[in-house]
Order: sequence, then C-alpha cells, then structure tokens
Amino acid sequence: MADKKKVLIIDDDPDICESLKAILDGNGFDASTALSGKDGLAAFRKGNPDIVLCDMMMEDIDSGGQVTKIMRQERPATPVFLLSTIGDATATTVGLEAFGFSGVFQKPVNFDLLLTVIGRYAKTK
Amino acid sequence: MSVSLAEIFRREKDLASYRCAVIALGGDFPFASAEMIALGEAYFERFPDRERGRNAEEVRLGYAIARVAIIEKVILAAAPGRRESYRAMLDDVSRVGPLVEALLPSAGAAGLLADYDALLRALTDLKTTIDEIPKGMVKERFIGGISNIFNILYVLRMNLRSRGRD
Repeated sequence: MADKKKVLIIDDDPDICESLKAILDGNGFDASTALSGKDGLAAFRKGNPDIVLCDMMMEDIDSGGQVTKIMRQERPATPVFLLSTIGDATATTVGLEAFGFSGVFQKPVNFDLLLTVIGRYAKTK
Repeated sequence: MSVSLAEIFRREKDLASYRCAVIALGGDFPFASAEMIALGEAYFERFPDRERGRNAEEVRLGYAIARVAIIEKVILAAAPGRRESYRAMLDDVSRVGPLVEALLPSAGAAGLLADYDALLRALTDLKTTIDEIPKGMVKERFIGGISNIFNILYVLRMNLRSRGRD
C-alpha cells in the first residue's frame, strides 16, 4: 500500500530489529532497520522515514542520543522515540532530555501503547 | 540443581556450547536475581564493557546469554510436547508462523492460546525477578535479553489473532 508510513528502527540487536519489524509490518507500517547509530543516520537520510524508533546504547553508550540530535536538527518534524533499556539514573547521566526525543518507550515495549502513539503521529504526517 | 549458569558460562568456550549445556538442564537451574547477577558478572569478566567504541558482537552475546536461560525457564510453562517448538520460536521470530501452522492440527487453537497465556505469565514473572537487579550493565543485558522474547510473544499473539482464534 502506497500510504504505509515508514518507520526506521535503529538498534544494535538484530533480533530486536527483526521482531520489531515483524510487529510494525504486521500492523500496517513499512519498517526498516539499522544496527548502529552510524548506519541509522545513513538510513534516515536515504529513506526519509516518517517515524524513528532508536535505541540509546549502541557503539557508544549515548549513540542513540547523538544520532537523534542530528536527526532532529536535519528534520525537526520527524518524531524520534527512544527505545530504552536504561533506568532513570542512567538517563540522567547521559542527558536524555537534551537529545530531543519525542518520547520514550521502556523495554520491554508495551506494543499496544507504542502502536497507539506512533499511529497517532502517523495520522498527522 | 547444583551447577550455576555462571559456572557453565565460565566453563564453556562459546555461545553454542553454553547454549547446549543450558538446554541439557531442561530448565532445572536456579535463576533468582542473585544467579542472574552472577551470570552477568561472569560475562563481564570475559567481555568488559566500555562507554566508547563498544564491541557490538560482545554486547549481542550478552543479550543472547541471558536469552538462552530465560527461554529455558519460560518454556517450562508450555505443554511438554510443544516446548521444543516454543524454544525455536522464542529464539527466532521468523519461526513463529511456520511453527504455529505445524502445531495447530494437534494442539488446536485453544491449546496454543493456553500456551501463550502461560508463557506470558512465566515471562512476566521473570521480568519481576530482573527488576530486582540493581541498575547497571548486568541489568541492561537482561532487559535487552528478555525484551526480544516479549516481542516474539506479541508476534505469536498477532499470529493467533490473524487466524481469528483469539
């Protein structure tokens, strides 16, 4: 379907990428994946996704944050959500608020919530 | 119940041999938060973490080591004759569809739904145990490990629903 919204998943765990992709594709999105912050940024620039889901700790402990900063500068209208395994204390350490995430989903992800939230964003795009 | 996962990890040379050794226990190993922490510490002894230039393969290995143990505990909740199939599904999301198809004639939709409910309860209980681990990198590996299994169970639920049996 031509109007499927594109979701880019950036996570260093290929198993997580595959299962997330299966869930998103199965719910009417067109998901693609990248396994590092660097590859994620390249995929963001090339694929022009409508929504990004991004892990924090990849090649560096704050890779997701650094990549998100750049994505938000380049395309401020594209929502970027953090997929986080980290707790509040670590979040403070890496300065989560400063990176400009549109929201945070704690792993394990509540998919009923995630699909509702990104579905809402997708309707506005 | 005498051997710990940390001992097995220290003894085995790679993920494949660790996985075989854990599977051979048939889920009969202690797995409270203390054992999870011990396993995590054994892993970080061999693969110390760092903030910059992390080795992606080593990080993924950490998730996989946690996942092997979690899967072995979780599948105990399913009907014994179907545990092998659930082990394969929870290890690889692409196996969900074909294995559900293969199980349906013998298990029936009700049987698979009962399995799904039992697996989810067991996984949720394990997540509660993981929550007891202090914040830090050991916990990060276990959260990363268990997350994918929750994801795959969600795919299983989607699969059952798509067949109009949920």
